[in-house]
Amino acid sequence: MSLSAIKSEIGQKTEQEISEILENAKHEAEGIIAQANARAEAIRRERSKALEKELDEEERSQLAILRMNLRGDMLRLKQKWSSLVVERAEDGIKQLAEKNGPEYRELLRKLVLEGAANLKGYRFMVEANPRDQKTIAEDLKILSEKATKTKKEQVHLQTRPTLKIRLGGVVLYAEDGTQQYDNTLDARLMAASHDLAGQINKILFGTGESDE
Amino acid sequence: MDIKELQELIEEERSAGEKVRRAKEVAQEAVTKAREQADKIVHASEVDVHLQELRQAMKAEFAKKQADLENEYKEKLAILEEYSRNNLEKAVERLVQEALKVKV
Repeated sequence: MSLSAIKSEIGQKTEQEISEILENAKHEAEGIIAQANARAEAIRRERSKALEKELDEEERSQLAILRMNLRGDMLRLKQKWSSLVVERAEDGIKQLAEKNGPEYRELLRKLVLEGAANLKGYRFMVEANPRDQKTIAEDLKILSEKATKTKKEQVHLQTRPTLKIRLGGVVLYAEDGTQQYDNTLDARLMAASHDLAGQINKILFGTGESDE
Repeated sequence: MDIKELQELIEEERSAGEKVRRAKEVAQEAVTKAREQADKIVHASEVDVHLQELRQAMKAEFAKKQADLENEYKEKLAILEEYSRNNLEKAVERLVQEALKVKV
């Protein structure tokens, strides 16, 4: 082999080796960048997912609190109107009692007779505020007769004033003090508002429930 | 082959070796640069602007849901208020009637 042929072969092999070195380096660099991109994408996905989860939980909890507060507002509004019904009813009853007209006097008589009918025994003390006690005292004879007729036994009624009764109405006590019948207007209003709560809610809010 | 030719060949081999060494340096430099760039790519993903955008988007979505819910209840409260006002007297009348209903 001639000298120039050997030189040429050395040159060719060198070029080939250099080309391979550079080509390999290029592949390695591309691989490194591709791996980094994949890792970056994975990190982004993971972080996005974690952030979404965190914000989602935060949002759900805040919305639940908000919903609870808004329901509370709703309940408070319903309570306001329910209380207003009782207040207005009390005002109406108070006006009726203060007017002390025939309608109220008739009501007082019925309250006494109802009390007597619901208590055992035949001797009763009727307590009322001074205004109502005066009316009852005037009607005591008639009331005793009516009660006697209802109970089919001679009924004895007595009356005394008290300052404990606010709106009006009566409290009947059996003579031996073992029983009493609270027929005051305060007690009746309280009982009616309790018994009719569902009905009143339905009239006021269009539903029988106290919540939404 | 004489001495002179042998020396030429030795020089040719040395020169070829030098070329390969330089190529290796260039290759190493390319790989090193790629590693540096890779570090930057990964680091950038850790302080990603996309996450801030996502947070803002979700916050905006939440604010909308919150406002929708508040409006929904505001409307419910207004309806309830009006309904109650319109039926107050009826309810009062029913309660008074019940309170004064005496069974004799």
